Amino acid sequence: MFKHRIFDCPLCNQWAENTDINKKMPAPNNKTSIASWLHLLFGVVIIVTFFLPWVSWDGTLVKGSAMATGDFFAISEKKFGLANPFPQFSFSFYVFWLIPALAAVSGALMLAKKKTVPFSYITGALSLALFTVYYLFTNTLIDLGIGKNVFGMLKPAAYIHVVAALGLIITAFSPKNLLPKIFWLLTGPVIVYAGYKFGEKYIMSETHTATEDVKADYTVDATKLIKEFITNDTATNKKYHDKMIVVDGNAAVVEILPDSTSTIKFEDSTGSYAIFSLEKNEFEKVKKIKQGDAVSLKGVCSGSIYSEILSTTAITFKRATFNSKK
Amino acid sequence: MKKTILAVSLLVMTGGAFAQNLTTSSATVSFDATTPIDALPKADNKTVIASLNSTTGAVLFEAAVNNFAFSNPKIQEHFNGANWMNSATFPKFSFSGKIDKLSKVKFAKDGTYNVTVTGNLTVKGVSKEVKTPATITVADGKVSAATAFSIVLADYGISGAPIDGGKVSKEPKITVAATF
Repeated sequence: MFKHRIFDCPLCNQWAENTDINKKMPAPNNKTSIASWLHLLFGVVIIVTFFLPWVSWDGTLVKGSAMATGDFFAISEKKFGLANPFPQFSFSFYVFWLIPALAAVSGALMLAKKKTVPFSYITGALSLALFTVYYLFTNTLIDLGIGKNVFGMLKPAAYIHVVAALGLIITAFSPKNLLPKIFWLLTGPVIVYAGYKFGEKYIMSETHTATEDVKADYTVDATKLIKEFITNDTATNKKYHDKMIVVDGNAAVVEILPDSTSTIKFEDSTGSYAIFSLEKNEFEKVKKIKQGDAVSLKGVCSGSIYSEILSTTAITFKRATFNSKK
Repeated sequence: MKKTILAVSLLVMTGGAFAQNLTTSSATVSFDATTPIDALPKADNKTVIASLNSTTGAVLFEAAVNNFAFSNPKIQEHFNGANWMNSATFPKFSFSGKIDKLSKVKFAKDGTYNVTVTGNLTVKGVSKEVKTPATITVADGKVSAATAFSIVLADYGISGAPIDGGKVSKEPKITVAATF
């Protein structure tokens, strides 16, 4: 029934005492006692290092507990504009609170000479999974130009945590039975790695939602918009940057480019303007627009620049379309 | 003496009549940093401001960095990020140059003229000299210009793992087209 020798397992001794099998086995030796204390030590190290900084992102230290507390993505969003791409799954990060909790449970059970499996296994697997998240995400930040070397950015506490997690799994079971150990050693990192790569691929294959399907953040009159940018470009750029805006006005210039894309421009009396870049699919509609016609356009505001060439303020919009909900 | 002054004045006035600063706010600049392993880093900006002075040969353009439209939202975000183009601090690319041997171009006559443009391209606050062949086309009085050249990202202080790893070209191609 049992292929591994239960009596060799330091954490199963208490449980094994109550089994028939145990009665046929010799008593635990000194080696098991050392393994038990090591197991306890690994548990304590896991708890302590969980609350220590694991990584430095551009000088900001991020603790191992940051994923569970929500600070992980809060920091990355605030510092690098990199928010959690799947906020709907944020609740799942609470699972990492099980690391210190189950490490404590394992330690208590070990002291009470009770069976610690599967708590120690889960603790170790979650710890390794968490380290994998930190490793992969830090690599993503390096892709964005933040830092150079992932191993240099990870802090000693993260490495110590990994060693302790490995130790917790290894000392949790018979050294002679490798399969369960290998399974629990690999489970966390493999699941996280696969999930991360899947998420990455999903994000990289995403395209922008069609402009007509996005609700406008603001609806403004063209002249008022231009005036707002001229009056206070810093505040207005902040307000409208990358926002979906509907702009109503009279077309000052309509231009169809050689590739059938087009631009429509609203101007004020000073020559400052807001210009919308429309895709080929709007070609037929654009053809009908003449200078002076009232139009309602919707697009993503890229903000303004002051043109040295034209000596005017230029407000640009991308992914623009005609506003059909007028 | 009076005749000379009159002749010079007429010459200046005639020259002035032909001197034109042609401008557009719908020039296109394409940025293509694709590589065999990543086809995503490429974008167009079709609201670029450009000017061409047919008398001096001065060529200028300004492109709002944030108006480069990428197909992938994440790539667009990265492109504008602080460690890449940093569009919040450096909101535009600009070029200021001159057509070499301007006399080759007859702005009053339909035709296609191959020229060389030399100037400074400013990206992320860093200016580097660019010398590139360009084509100027005059058709029915309309002047258009086109050129394509590569830039070395490292020259503008742009580096990172995706470039080293071959996901982003070290020398993206810039294509410019303007109809004035």
